Amino acid sequence: MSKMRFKSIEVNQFRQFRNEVVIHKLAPGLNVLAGNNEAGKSTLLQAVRAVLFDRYTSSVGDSFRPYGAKVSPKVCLVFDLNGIEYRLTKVFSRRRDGEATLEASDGRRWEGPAAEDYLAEVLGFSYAGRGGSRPELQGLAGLLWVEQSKAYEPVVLTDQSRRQVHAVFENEMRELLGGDQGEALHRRITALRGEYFDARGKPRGDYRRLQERETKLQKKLQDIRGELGEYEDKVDRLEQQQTDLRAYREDRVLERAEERVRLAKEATKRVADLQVRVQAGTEQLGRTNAESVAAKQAWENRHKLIAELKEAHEAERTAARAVGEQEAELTPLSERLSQLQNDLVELKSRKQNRDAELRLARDAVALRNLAAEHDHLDTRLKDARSVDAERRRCVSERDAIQVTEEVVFGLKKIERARDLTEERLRAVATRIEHRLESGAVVHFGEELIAGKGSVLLTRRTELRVKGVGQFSVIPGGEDLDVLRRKVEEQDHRLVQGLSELGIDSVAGAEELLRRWGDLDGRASQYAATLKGLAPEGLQAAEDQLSSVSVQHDGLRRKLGDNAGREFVLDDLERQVQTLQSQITAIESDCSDEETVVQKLREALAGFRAEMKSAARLAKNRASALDRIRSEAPDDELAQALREAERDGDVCSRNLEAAKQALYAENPEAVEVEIERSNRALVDIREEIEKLDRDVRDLKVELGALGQRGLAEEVASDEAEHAFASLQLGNANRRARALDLLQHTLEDALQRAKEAVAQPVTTKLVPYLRQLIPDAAPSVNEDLILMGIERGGAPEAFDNLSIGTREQLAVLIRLAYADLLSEAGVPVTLILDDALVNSDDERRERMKAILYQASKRYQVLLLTCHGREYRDTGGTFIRLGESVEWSERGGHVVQGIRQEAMEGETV
Amino acid sequence: MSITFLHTADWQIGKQFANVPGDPGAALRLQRLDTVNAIAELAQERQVDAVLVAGDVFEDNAVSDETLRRTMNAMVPFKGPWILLPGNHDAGLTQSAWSRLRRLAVVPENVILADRPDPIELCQGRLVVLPAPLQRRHEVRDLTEWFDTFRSDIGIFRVGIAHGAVTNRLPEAAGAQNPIADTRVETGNLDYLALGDWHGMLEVAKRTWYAGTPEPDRFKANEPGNVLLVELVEAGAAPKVEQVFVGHYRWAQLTFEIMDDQGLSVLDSQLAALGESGRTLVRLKLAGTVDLGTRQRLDELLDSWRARLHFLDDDDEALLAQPSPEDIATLAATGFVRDAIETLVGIEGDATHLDRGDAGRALQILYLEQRGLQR
Repeated sequence: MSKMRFKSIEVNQFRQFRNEVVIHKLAPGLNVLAGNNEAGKSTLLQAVRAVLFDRYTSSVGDSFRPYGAKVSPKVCLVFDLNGIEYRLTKVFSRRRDGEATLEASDGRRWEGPAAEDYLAEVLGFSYAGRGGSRPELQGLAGLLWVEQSKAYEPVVLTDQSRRQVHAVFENEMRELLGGDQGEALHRRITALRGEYFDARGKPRGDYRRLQERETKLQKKLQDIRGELGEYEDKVDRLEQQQTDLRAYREDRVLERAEERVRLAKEATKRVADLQVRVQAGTEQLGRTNAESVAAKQAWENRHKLIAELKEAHEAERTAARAVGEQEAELTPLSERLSQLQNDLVELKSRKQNRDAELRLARDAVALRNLAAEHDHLDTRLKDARSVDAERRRCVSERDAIQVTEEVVFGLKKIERARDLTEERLRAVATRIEHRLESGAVVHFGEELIAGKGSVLLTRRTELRVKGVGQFSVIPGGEDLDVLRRKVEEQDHRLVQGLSELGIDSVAGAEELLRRWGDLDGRASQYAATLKGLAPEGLQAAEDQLSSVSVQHDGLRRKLGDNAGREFVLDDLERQVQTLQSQITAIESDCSDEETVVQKLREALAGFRAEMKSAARLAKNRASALDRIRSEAPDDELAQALREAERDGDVCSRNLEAAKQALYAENPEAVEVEIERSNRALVDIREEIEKLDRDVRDLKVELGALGQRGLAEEVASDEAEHAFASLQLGNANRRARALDLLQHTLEDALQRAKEAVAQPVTTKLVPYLRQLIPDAAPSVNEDLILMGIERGGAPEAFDNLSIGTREQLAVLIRLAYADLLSEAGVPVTLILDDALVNSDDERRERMKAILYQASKRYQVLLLTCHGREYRDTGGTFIRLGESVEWSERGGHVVQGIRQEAMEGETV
Repeated sequence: MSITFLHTADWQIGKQFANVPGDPGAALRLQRLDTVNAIAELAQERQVDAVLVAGDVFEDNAVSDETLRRTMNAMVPFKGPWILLPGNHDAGLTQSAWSRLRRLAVVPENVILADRPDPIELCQGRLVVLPAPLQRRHEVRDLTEWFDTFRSDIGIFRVGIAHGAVTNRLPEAAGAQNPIADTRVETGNLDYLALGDWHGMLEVAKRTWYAGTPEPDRFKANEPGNVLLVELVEAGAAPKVEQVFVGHYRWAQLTFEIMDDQGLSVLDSQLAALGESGRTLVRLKLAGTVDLGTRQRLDELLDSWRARLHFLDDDDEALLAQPSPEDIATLAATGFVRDAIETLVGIEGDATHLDRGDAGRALQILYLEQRGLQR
């Protein structure tokens, strides 16, 4: 495997480097050149590009010269290539001091343009015709050396770099892409298909015209076939019409239609004659009928008058009979009614007497009852008065006692309190027990005490002992006085209460209270007895007695002498009842009889009026009949009627015969038949005329058409169309074949292109997975990274973030470099701040990736973020920030301080 | 004394040949009149007593007046009686080729238009011709029935002339319209029944002949191109019938299977063996599987024969062209071209693929173009 490695770079009088700057002992793998902004990283890269790709005599050299510098810009580059070390030195000047020297470790040496040409050949680049070199001329350096601020741009292969990359697997690519011949064949087939189809796949050119011609001929053929069809239809029609015409004539259809019309006309005339007959007969019958009706009417009127006269006589007789019958029926009924009325008067008189007797009897009974009641009431009143006097006495005694339960309760309460207080006084009183000798005269207060006993002292008490003198005993304690006063007070209240009641003890009070209760109970008992004897009170009882007494007296006076009479009340009541029943029965009979008699009388009056009316009517009818008989006797009328009826019969028979004849002719059928036969005749005439006309016209028309030879035209057009179809069929087959061929080639080419990109993709995938684990690259047949695919979704390169773009741009370069390196092409990767937009995590991954790549070829990473790349794992070279002057090896070194020691890795 | 006549039919003057496009077709159409002329000359040469044309004289009733006139002109060489019978193509309708011929007044006196079923006496009454003209395109009844009831003198030759399908004798394809009883010769006491409609020559029943069309018009091997020279020696005796070839063009149909270059040689020799290439029409059905080189050589061979024959119709639907390893080597196909060839070969080998036929042609084109590029 051939390799390329930069070993040292020396720059003097180049842009910002006014003095010599030396970077030496660059490592074969990863080199990190760190320096702050303006430290000269990019200038260093520019110097490397210049010494390699710009001619030393190029005008661009002037732009390298620092402002006002007298000495020409000089760059010296030492590098290994395929095991040989080269030292390339250029002084950029178009003057005499300009030079280019290439010295090889194997002793070869080139100078001037020869050195530059050899270099271009070895490294595969070309010089710019005018001005400075451009990346597209710099071969792989243009591809693999990334300038600051361009890192995120899409990586495009220039012609030169493409050639160099393609050269790696040229044979495979040529194989896949079919070589020049494959391309030519593809173009040829595309062109051939283009003769048939346009860009949108629509037919074009001769092919389209062929299709149009075939369509046109098809249309023409259809049209001419249509014409021929019409012609043949007309021939058929003519044949048919001639056949029809012949049939009409052979069948004498017209003549038969005319005969039918003639017969129909005759039938119509017969019908018309009969209709006249029927009409005349009908009119005649009308007249005779009218006469007959008049005769009949006269005869009926005469009969009616005679009948009415007869009926009037009959009615008169009937009414007279009825009057007689009614009068005969009325007489006994009137007599019986009169008898009933007399009986009724007599019964009513008797009942009146019995009623007076019954009243007397009832009063007598009442008088006796009143007397008994008076006695009873009087006895009870007396008892009541006695009980009431007793009750009053008890009440009076009770009310004289003033003791009540409350009073007794109060006294008992005071007594209990005094006893209690007294007991307490005793308890606290001073007890003086004494056992006196007999004879001793001792006074305790006013009381003389003797013998054995005890005295309670509740107050100052004088003890006088005779012979001894007097002692004042003063019981001790304040309570004693209080208790003693309280006992006295309570005694006082008790005595006062008792005295108010006039008693001396509480027990007396309780006795009085019992006496009060006893009197009250007895008073109540008497009151109850009184209530039983006189519920309404004594006064009411007295009033009642008085009232009974008055009634009794009044009734007695009323009865007078009858007061002592004895009556049988029940008998009297029965007699009155019987009489009342008889009266009621006779009154009912009377009423019925009266109704019947009244009705008979009304009927009698009606019959009499009817008899009178019938007699008057009979008289009227008799006079009218006499009058008209004088004008026309009855037999004359009868004769006229018989004649009229006979005439009517004759007319009817005549009319019926005429109608039968008319019916037999079936006038409706005759009418329809004349219409039908006329219409048929017209139709047939028109049809025959039309057929004649049509046949004539068709013959003329077909004669003219026949000359055209339509069948031959059709056949000719068919042949022409068949030929066009044949041509079109051939063209279709060729067009389809070309279309298929072209599409098949396109598809195959597409697959080939995808296969071409495969090596790059294969190299890129491991890097990409390391950077973005779920992403897959999309590389086209030109080996350009078009984007990535994540989760099945394609993402175009331009749509990715700047950070991702610059990372991917580095990765695709690594893939190219890997391929080239494997193929023995000398590659070096230079990245000038190519990852400034990467986040920490991605930067870490990229550092690992770059380190891996640097195992295969040299990588120079220029950065202004030295700290972040300090741990990259490669050789770390810090470019000094301040201007430092130092002497080394006779050279003046400006601004660059190489921190890393030879072979040191960080 | 015997009577001779020519029996012909189905001239179908005016017929076009849609399946033979272009000039060859036009030549075929014109040839039919020349053949009529040849018949007239033959009749004149053989001194026949009459020429009986058993229907379908014209392709259609709607042929042009010019065609009608040209037909009459073609018949001029024979001065004897012609009997022309309407067939289904030129049925004797009121308005027909026949009515127009009469109106044009171009019918020579010796030409009898037999468009009515009336007996025609010829040869001074020794021959009575009984025509059964079709007066409609299609008849369901047998128009020759009246032959049975027509009486003629003993010793008079009775010849029927009709157009239709003899019952029970023809293939079903002949159809059931315009039927003619196969016993008509016996029942009608005919010496000969001259028929038309069937385009090949055929003795279909006793003394009952189809003459066939005198000029072949389709790729069907049923002996077309003849007229019948009929000699009636004695009434009731069997006629002498001579087949005379008058056709000009020959129609040949070949089916050929090709597998390799040797097959091409055989094909070439077979086509050569047909002879008279200039008036031969060939329908060639090709089958087999060939490589692209053979296919290319086949096309070249066919092109050369197409220039020699009157017409060549080659049907190569059943012929598969598959690239052989040698073809592939010849094509020197690599990369995507080889991939495309393999795809197309796959399609062609897939009997169910809709593009199968196109794939074969595509391969052929590819082969040709690649060869062209290589040159």
